[in-house]
Amino acid sequence: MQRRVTLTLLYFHAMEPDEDRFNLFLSWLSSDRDEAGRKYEDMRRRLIFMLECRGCNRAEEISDVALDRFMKRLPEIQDTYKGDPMAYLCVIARNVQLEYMRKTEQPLPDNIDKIPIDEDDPDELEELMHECLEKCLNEFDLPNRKLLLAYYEEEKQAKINFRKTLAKSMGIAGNALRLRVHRLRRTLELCMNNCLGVDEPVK
Amino acid sequence: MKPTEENQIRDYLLGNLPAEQAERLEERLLRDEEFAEQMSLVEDELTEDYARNVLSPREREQFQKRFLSIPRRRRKLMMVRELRKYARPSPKPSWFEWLDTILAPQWRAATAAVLLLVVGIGVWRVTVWPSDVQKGMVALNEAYQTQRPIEARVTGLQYAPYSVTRGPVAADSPSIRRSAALLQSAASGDSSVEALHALGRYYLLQKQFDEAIAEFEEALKKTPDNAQLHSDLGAALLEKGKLERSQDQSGGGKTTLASSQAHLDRALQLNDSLLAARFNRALLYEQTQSWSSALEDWQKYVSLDPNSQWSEQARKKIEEIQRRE
Repeated sequence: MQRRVTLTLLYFHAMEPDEDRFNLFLSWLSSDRDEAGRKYEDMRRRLIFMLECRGCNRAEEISDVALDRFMKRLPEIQDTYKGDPMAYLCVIARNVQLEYMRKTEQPLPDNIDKIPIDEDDPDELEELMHECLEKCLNEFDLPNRKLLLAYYEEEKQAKINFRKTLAKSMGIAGNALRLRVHRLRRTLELCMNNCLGVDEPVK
Repeated sequence: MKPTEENQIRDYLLGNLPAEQAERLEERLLRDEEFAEQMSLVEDELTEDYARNVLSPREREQFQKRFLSIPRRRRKLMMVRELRKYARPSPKPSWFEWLDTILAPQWRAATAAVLLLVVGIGVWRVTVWPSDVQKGMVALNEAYQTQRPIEARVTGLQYAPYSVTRGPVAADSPSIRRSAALLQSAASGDSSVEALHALGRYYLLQKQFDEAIAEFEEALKKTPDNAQLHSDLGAALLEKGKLERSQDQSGGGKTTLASSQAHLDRALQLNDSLLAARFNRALLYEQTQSWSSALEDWQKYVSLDPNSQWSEQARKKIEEIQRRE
């Protein structure tokens, strides 16, 4: 978290050197600096997720611009603003995204799911992905590793029946199983990102 | 999560929710942590459905437009595809699923025999399916599961403590004999890269370095940019260079070690995260007494693979170098 705040400060230095604004924002979030940092981080993470859900491929940059605009407005509104500030932030983020789309949006190519993520060789990436997956799965304890692999083992109807049986055998509801696997998948994704050298928040 | 709520999230993620409802949902996403997690869960499951090819054509098109423009989501899709492949190493006969779906009680008796036949064929396929190369590699891993005869790390081989012995390894264990038979037969049969590579690994573990080098070089002619092959060739040359050096104290093994370094450098150039190559290059730097480079490679190794037994060995090496300094 500390690193992220520092990086973000650097980002703002690059954009506009106003550390005071960022400090004011943090103190507005909470009088405890660490707590404020956590809140800021969480706010940014959800904002990125929301922008991605809106199909925005520059979610991180746009959320930073939206947060910056919010911070600029903060001295004027901090004493008088009523209600949840997230609603206001949400409106700013949508506006920034619209501005961005008007300037830059291009239609997507038809073969979008075949396009490699970066400039890397896709075969090499696939090989690396496989190695990383193996490495990351090995970091799980055996029951969780088995659960994750079992969850992905079956197909279609067999999958549905199998997952029901799996939940029953674990003595939990189907939704609880989904959530448990979701959290494991998130841990896996985080590990994979580290392994692949990707510095990106996992939602 | 209520089904209606889940459907609403799904519609939102695919871009089907009216603007007003979408805005309310977005505000909730920013305010409510639990809801954010639910949305992330539905996003994951949509990705999985896409990978399984169970979305309708329209949903598929929407998914491509909304999801795949985001690098993180494309990466997630790749991860899910890889995870599915990993979870199902051998393909299952598709008629299994067909039977499961259409088998009505009134047909049960009549199809029991067919089902038995299907199960029989399925078991036969699962047990017979692995190729000679795969079976040979399993046997090789079994043979060296308690100790490894060379210090270098060979790709595709699990960890075992290094045991210092001189001369060739006695091929007296059933697993070694089995792996030799399988891998030699596979390599003489189709001469595929996989077969040549596996046979090279076998020779390397037998300390038959010239034979190992010949197999790796042959395989590299077919795939010159295979990082794992470069790593194993580098390992074979490293072990050969060490042997030459021990037999000739006046500078023997220099050329072989230089050649080893070229292949290990190439392996890491092709794949900077290839653990075996990193491990072997650190050993090579020790041989050439390039202590700072060795230390750097060991430290990098530990950062890439912090929890394995290989890493414990790397940590000991770091301590030894630091003591030396």
